[in-house]
Amino acid sequence: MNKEIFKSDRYFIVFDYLVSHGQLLIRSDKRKGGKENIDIIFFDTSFVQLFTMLFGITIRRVDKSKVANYISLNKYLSEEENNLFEIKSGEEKYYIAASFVRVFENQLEFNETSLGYENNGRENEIAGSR
Amino acid sequence: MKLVIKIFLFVFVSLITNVNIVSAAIARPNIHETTTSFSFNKKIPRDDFKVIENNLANCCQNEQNLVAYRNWGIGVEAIAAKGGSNIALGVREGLGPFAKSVNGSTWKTWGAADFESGFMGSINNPGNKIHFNLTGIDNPWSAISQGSKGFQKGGYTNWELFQLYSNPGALQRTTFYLNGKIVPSPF
Repeated sequence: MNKEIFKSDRYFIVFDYLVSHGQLLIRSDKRKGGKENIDIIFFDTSFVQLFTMLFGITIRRVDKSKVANYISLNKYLSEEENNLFEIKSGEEKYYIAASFVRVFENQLEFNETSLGYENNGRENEIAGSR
Repeated sequence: MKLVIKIFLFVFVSLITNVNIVSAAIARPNIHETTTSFSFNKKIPRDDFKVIENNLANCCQNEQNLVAYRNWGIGVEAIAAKGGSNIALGVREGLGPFAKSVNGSTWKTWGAADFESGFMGSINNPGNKIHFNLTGIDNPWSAISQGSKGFQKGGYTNWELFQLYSNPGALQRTTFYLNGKIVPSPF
């Protein structure tokens, strides 16, 4: 618990969401700070408390009691395979409840997403909660 | 008299020898002709078919072997069933509690790395029992119609239902639920 899953000082934005399997994409675009995109994908995303523009990011899996007390959220987090992730950016901390997170590097263009069914942009996994 | 008999024997032997020679002379061209003729080409599959038939017949002659083979197959399934697990499927809303109620695992366990192969591997394991929650699916037939387009276009759950519908072995191991109760298969 509280183990750092991923850290980057690049600029990230909430980029896309796909209802199937609750996939949430937070991307650092390759045009801003690197040769490749960094795509952070949360799966089975059920709760999001997040500023959509993040200057630097650190992701940790944290104790499930660390967030505001919502009945539906607590119910979700009571299931063993669901987790609470802390998103730290600067001095601020945000929270996402999801089952797991995976981080990829890819060369997708701005109008291309790594969410979906074809595993586009998911060939090179660089970090994850599993 | 002896001379007559000798002549008769000579003629008789000569006739037989000639007939054989003629037969051989006729037979060779015939064989050659047959091998190159169109009709011979037609004959090959028939012969092969007979060979296959014979092999099958030989194979099936040993009933004990067949019974042993069948028992071996049943044994393999039994071993797999022992080590099998419960697979919980359904729409995302309520999947967690449903999985818990059937003591099953969801895509978050077996499909996290690669959903499609994880799913196919899970449902095709004869040891696994499949539990499908129909709650939230208004019309299963409409769902499989959508699912037949692939999970890219039809959505994950519809595609899962379509795969079960298309796979009698997996469908046989599937229990359907609606609003928390077991219901008959919609198919």
